[in-house]
Amino acid sequence: MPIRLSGPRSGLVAAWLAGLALCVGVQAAGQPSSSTAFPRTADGKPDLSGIWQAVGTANWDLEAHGPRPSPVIALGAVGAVPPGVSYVGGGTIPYQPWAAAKKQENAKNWMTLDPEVKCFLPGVPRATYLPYPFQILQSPGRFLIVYGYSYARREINMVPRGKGPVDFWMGWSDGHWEGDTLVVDVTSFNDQTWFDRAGNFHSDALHVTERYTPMTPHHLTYEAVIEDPKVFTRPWTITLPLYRRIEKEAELLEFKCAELTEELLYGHLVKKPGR
Amino acid sequence: MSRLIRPLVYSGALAALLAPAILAVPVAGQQAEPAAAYAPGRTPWSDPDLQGVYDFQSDVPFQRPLELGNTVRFASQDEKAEYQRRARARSAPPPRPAAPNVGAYGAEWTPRNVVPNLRTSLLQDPPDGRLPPMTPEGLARYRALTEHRRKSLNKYDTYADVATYERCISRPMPRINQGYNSGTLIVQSPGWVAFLYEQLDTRIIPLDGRPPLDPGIRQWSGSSRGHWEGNTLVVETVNLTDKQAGFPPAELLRGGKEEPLTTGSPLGDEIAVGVLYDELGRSGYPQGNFRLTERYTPIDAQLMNYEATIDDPTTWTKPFTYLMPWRREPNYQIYEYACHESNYGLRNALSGARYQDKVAAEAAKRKNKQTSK
Repeated sequence: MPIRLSGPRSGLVAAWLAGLALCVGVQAAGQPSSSTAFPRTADGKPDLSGIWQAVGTANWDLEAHGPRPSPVIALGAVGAVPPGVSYVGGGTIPYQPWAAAKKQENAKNWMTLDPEVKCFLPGVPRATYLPYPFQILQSPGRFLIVYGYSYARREINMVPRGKGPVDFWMGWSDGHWEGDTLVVDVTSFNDQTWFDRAGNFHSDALHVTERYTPMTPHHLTYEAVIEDPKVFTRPWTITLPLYRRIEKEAELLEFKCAELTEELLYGHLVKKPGR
Repeated sequence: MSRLIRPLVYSGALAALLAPAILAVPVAGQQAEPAAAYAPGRTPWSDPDLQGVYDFQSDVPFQRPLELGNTVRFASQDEKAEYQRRARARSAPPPRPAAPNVGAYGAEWTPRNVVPNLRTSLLQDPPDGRLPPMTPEGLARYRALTEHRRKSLNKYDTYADVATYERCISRPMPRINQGYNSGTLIVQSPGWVAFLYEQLDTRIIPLDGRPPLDPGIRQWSGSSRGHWEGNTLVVETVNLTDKQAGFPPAELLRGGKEEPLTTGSPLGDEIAVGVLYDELGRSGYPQGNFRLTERYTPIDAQLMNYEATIDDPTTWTKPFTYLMPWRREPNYQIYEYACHESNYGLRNALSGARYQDKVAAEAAKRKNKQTSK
């Protein structure tokens, strides 16, 4: 594992460690050569394996917004929408006029329309910045991303296959390397998922190009280019950092929310006593 | 051993030198048997490489049919086929000319990846291929569960009476033969192994020797920790939820009466004899918070032995172990299993039942009016 450093003396410590590595030659191939090097696999590619999580307000609203009250009065401050800056290149999402109106309608009906409320699969890129960690497993020719949310997961095929045979909630992912960046072409979406809790949406013409680029040993830059000619006037980009979960014993815990939403979805169909 | 020096010790060339000289010779129809001789490939970080897609469909019953006595395995595929033919004929329902055979539900998307296996039961221990007796507590829970299922059958009073698999939550742990979509992808990365089951569940198991999760965290897949014993991946699981009741199949306790059963299910003959249901169409005994030990041993380039030991002293008087061979299926494409998103079956069953309640209530009201006139 890379050595984690912080504080004013970290530079000195790093220099000392680098010197030690040179002196005794303990640095094996594939290991980071200093505190600033990203881990690499035996074939020299960045090793994206690990547990990652987005921090911030992208899932609340990709665009700049002030705080808003909770739609569930009983939840008070716990359910309130925190303020946030925009994660969208250029600030706002370039909707076609009809789509801008639909977005407003979605936002008004957040509680009844947001697929996240129902524990439906979140789609891409929303899965990345949901408030749950996700884990990447990487081995030669294989990429698996498992999300902490529900049973969401994606196998990223490193041999390009083109469009998928049917539509998917999580799309159909083909990956390749461009230098140190893992580029994932995601196509074959259905039109059921949203980008956030603010009603931002897409059609089944969505094409997402994701780019995972090492920033520091514990940070990735995540970029998603969104193309959907049925909904937007031009392609637009989401950019946010991903943070490594550095707790020594970090692991994904089950969040099988299908079970947690049954009363919401089916409660009105349950037999009531005396009826 | 630290990750710094491991690659030096287990370089690819060295691993090849160390591989046993006597390799398993694959023969046609080879059976899943322990074979210490097979040395699988290694990952770049020197773990045995189990990666790829497998399936584990089986036509072997969980318990050995009583009539087979001490026969642990059939002598040949022919003998097994003949036995299956006779057993099917015995349990076939009487012919119903009015109901033409339209085939099994979903038969067109249940391509069979049945792994060849001449054994007469998946259960290997106890050696008689039969489950050990239940404890009084286990039996009481089993009877209560059966009674509840009998009362709630087809009533759909609540989603809580429906199997957790049909509610798109989880399939029972550990996995046994299932009708379809049992393809399973294994992916490894340094310190981890992931099992991606096509239906619902993904397990990501740490191999770094960390302790299990706090007992306060009960999960549908439990808390699993793995380690290597030679080329065998050993996974120990605790903290399983007791909310599932699907394992093992209750084929021998139909209505509380023991009855040898080798074939047949409510889904028809298309479903192999390994899939067995009780008379209510639900499989399984109640489960407690048991300890599960799984052993994954590759035995040749295609086959891997899967052995699972269930130690549940509150339910069973002894631990038991079953062996279910897995086979590589390189052409099996695992697709998204968006089950909860489209669970019209559950919604419509509940909705239909409430409509029937309403119709019945109105009929009762009319009857009351008539009698009071």
